[in-house]
Amino acid sequence: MRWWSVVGMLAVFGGCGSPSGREDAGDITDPPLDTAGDEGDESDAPPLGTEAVFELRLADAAPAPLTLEMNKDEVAELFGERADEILLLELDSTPLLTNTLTTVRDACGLAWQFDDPDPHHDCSLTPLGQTFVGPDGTWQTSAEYAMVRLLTMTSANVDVSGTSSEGLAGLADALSWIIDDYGTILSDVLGIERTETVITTDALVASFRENFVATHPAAGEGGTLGLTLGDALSNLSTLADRYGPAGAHPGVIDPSYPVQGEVFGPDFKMIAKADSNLRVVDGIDADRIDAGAGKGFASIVVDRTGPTYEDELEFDFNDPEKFRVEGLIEDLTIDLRFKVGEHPQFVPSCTGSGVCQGNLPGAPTSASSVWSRDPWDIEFLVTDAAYRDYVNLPPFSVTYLLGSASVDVGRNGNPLGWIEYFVFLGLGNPPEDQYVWETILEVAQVRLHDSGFATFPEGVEIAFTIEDIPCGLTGSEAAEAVRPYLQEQASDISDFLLGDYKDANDPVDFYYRRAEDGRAYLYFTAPEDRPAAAAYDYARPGFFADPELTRRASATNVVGLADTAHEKLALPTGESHYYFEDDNGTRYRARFVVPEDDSTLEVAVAQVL
Amino acid sequence: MRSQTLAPSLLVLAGSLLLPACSEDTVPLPDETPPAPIAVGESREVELRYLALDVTGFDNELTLDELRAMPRATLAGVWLADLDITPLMVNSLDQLSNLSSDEVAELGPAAQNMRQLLRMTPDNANLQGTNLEELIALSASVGIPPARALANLLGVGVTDDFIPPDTVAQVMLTHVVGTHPNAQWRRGAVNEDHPDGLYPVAPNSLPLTLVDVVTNFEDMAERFGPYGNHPGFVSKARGLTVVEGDFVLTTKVNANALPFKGTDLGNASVASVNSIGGQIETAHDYSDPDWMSIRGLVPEPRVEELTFTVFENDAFILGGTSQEPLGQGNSPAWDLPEWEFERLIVEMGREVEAQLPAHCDTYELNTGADAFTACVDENGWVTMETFNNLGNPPPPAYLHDLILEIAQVRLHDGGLAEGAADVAMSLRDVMVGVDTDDLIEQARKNLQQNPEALREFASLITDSTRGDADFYYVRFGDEDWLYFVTEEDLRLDDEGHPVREYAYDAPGFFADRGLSMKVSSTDEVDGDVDHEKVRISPGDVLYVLDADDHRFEIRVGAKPSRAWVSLVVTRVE
Repeated sequence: MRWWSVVGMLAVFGGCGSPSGREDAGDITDPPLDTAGDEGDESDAPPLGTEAVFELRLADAAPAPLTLEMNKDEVAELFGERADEILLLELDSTPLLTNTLTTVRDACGLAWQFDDPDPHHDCSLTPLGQTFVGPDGTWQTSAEYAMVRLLTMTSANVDVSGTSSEGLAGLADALSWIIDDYGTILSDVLGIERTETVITTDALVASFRENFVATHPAAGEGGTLGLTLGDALSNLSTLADRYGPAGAHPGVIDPSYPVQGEVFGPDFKMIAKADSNLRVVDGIDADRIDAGAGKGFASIVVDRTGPTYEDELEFDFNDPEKFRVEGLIEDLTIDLRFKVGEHPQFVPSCTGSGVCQGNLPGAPTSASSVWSRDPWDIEFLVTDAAYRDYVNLPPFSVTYLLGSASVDVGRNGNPLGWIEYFVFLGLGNPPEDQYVWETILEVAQVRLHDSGFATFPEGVEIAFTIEDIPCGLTGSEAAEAVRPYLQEQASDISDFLLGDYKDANDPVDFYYRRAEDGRAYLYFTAPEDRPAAAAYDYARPGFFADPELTRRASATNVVGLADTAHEKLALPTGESHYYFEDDNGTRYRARFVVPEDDSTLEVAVAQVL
Repeated sequence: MRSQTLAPSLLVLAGSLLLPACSEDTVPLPDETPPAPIAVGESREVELRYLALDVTGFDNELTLDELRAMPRATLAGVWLADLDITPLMVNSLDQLSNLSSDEVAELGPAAQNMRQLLRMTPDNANLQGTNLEELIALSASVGIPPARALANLLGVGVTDDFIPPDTVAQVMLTHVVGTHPNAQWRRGAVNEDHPDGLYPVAPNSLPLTLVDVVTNFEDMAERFGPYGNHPGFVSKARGLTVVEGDFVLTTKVNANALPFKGTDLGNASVASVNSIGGQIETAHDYSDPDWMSIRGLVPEPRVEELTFTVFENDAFILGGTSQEPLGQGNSPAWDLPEWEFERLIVEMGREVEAQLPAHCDTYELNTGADAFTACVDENGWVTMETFNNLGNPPPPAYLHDLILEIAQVRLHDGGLAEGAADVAMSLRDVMVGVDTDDLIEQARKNLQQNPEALREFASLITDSTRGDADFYYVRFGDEDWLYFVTEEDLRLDDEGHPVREYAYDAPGFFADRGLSMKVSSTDEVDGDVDHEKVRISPGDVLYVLDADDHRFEIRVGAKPSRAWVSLVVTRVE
């Protein structure tokens, strides 16, 4: 600091004009803010302390943009824990579920696709199948296999033993030399090929998406899975926590097994170029002038880009020139373990009564209805999948043996999917009338507890550890897919990085800046210039023409300026004098000298004694 | 001229018995007509009288005009003090820093740039064109005030100078002033300790002699301009006013004010040898605090116009890239002459480093990532790192290397080419910053410790040497002595230079014509150890070789009077 020793009592500076007589500038001012005449009546100036002289400069030039080209470690370093809050994309779980459930379905081979009552499962054929280990050490006795058996159930290999359809199936199979066997009847009724799965993968995926995934508190709408930067940086391991058990939900992911999925390849780069809206402005903290430290600085946001106009950094994630990621793993896969469980008790199908025709998803007719179960229960998931497959099953009717047996689906005034069995004299003890999906519910439950090799008590939990499951998105697609998500969060990301900029601000009383109208103003500090928790103890903010602070020279509202938070003052060219009070209640006189080029002004601050 | 007035006045003083006179005889005025040269074989009789006029406490006052009339060489030989010019340097720098805009406009481009350099603070630093430009520009982008970052790096406030004025002054004094030969050595008496007659000048000082005082340092630019390899540091100095018109230098003299009488063997004439020089050891009573006084020094000496010069190297000097040698590094700036701009800058930078404790400043982003870290170790080695190399921070270097680059770039602002930015900083009315009372006291002490410095000066005060005596007669008590002249006894011209060369091949007195048996010696007699001298009695025969290599026989005759000897001089060859 350059001290200009000025005798304390010398307070008379000539040529400063006469007082304007304005009592208050009000708070609406036409531009330019007319301070002529108020720039200091120094003829009756009070005694002053020693002046300290400073220069205040305008920082008109926009700072150079920040250009970052980061590898994975640098991205992690830059964002820190905030990476968990940066959503890269919302992954449609459909492909992942499709791939997962298909992998599970085919875990014991593909022989089930043949028109053969025996699916010829051999779980030793696949890595996943090899993980199925039952009580006796074989896959046959594992609950996982029971699930595979269910998922691979076709008309050809359907096993309804132990179900209400067992009698009918037995009768049909016994009379197969004169009528179709049960498998054919079933395929006819369901309108599927004999070798098609009774529950389609698409329906099962949809059911899992809506009932298993979407019901998780962390999942997005429609069962999307949010993928954050933190997830990507952690090779997706953080997904286990986020999509693990939550409340009543058992979790989409079983956290007992580490999730793994490399997203960033070894050549990964994130290139981001952002314009900074921060401007460092020169200011004065008057109560430190005695310590030689009166000059201070504050950063302010000058955001004229929008849409929020408060961003410290201006990102454009949609512009490949300003943002792009390179080196993502092209074949994005994931290793995870998911676990599904069933209701602790057998869930009865709703049969026979007309009431059951109204037993539909979202409208259970009884507490025991499958639709009253938790949506993530196996019973619900399977039934809902079947419902999706068959809710629009076209009306169908088939008669056997000259009308001695018939099956009607969606006929006779019944809703679609409602199945009626008729067998002369009730031979074969046919099932009661019910929806197709209720039948499948029963079969599924029975098979889940009796895979043909082993039986299981109610309350089965089945977990599958699957690896290298494609996420349904390539690296290239992901690189583009992140753009809208990041752009949506541009303001947040800006805050994450520089949102604390005010913490570094000196507690200046006022600062010098150019406003949007092109004029340079003194801005008296306002609460918004301070960190959130900082006190703002100015009793009379602003600039005054007199030492008693009765004639306000500054105004908060200046026509042409959007800001209304600050007391602002446009200085005249030449020398002028104003008074102000700091946050300690100390009054000062500021003598300004503004040259024709207003880029730098000189201010001499002296305490009013 | 003082020399023309003092001796008669002393006689008047003696005659009026205002001072205790010790003359033993009436003294006739000497015959001013020079006799003819003595021929070989010719003999002439000369009578020498010992004249004594002992004055005590005589105030020997010299006005400015009287002093200025003295030979420059004599005045230059009276060293008063080493003038500490630290205040002058500081004042000059301060004035340079605070010039008005009109005054700045009068400076040359390089000087203006130099001025800006001296005024550079973290707040006003212009780093454009330097390795720090991009980094500093980007610091604002992330909410780090550039000035704050710079200030923290330097360990100063944002409006403090990059290089403190005291440091600038000290480095300038040490490396520019202190390396100038005329600021390193001054001339003084030749003696055993100083056989070359050179004496070191105190650090940060210029030797101040009487001639400087009475001429108001008129030759300052000449003395401290180019000298040998040194380009000098003052190109113009005018109006360094040290003394006022009523200046008076007063010394109190206690001495025999009359000259010794001797013989010029060339014509066997009586000549006079000033006696003050020979009495210089006892001429002043240093126990008297008023033995010397100076009146009329200006209270606050000022320089009316002073132009400092600083010369830059013709090439851009790169900063160092290595920490070795520790604390200095390997910048070629260290190999430059000490007075060159680039060398001065690294010296200043090193001084700054010496005051700077090791520290690190880290600026974090809101995420906790380190946006910028600047560390300075205990040797001034600066390491700057930014996240993702933002702002392309310069490689590690000593702080003085960074400053060197900044200084060189800024010195050439305005398109000055390398080598075209030699600086001449002209200042007006600069206070020397010397306390004249201190100066006087310092001069008094110096003269007291070195009375030889006053020999010629004191001799000139009386200016009583007449003719060119080869020896002279001195009487101590009842003893009669002949003193062979020394170089100090030679008559001086108006410029203070000896009128003749001291060309004696065999000074002294001998017992034989072949000059092989010297009977004189320089053994101490009444404090004198400089002269060849011999005690004489009537009937003694001595042989002497004069400056023209003529041999003479001197026969001591009967004494005409107690303080009077009669000699017969015969040229024997």
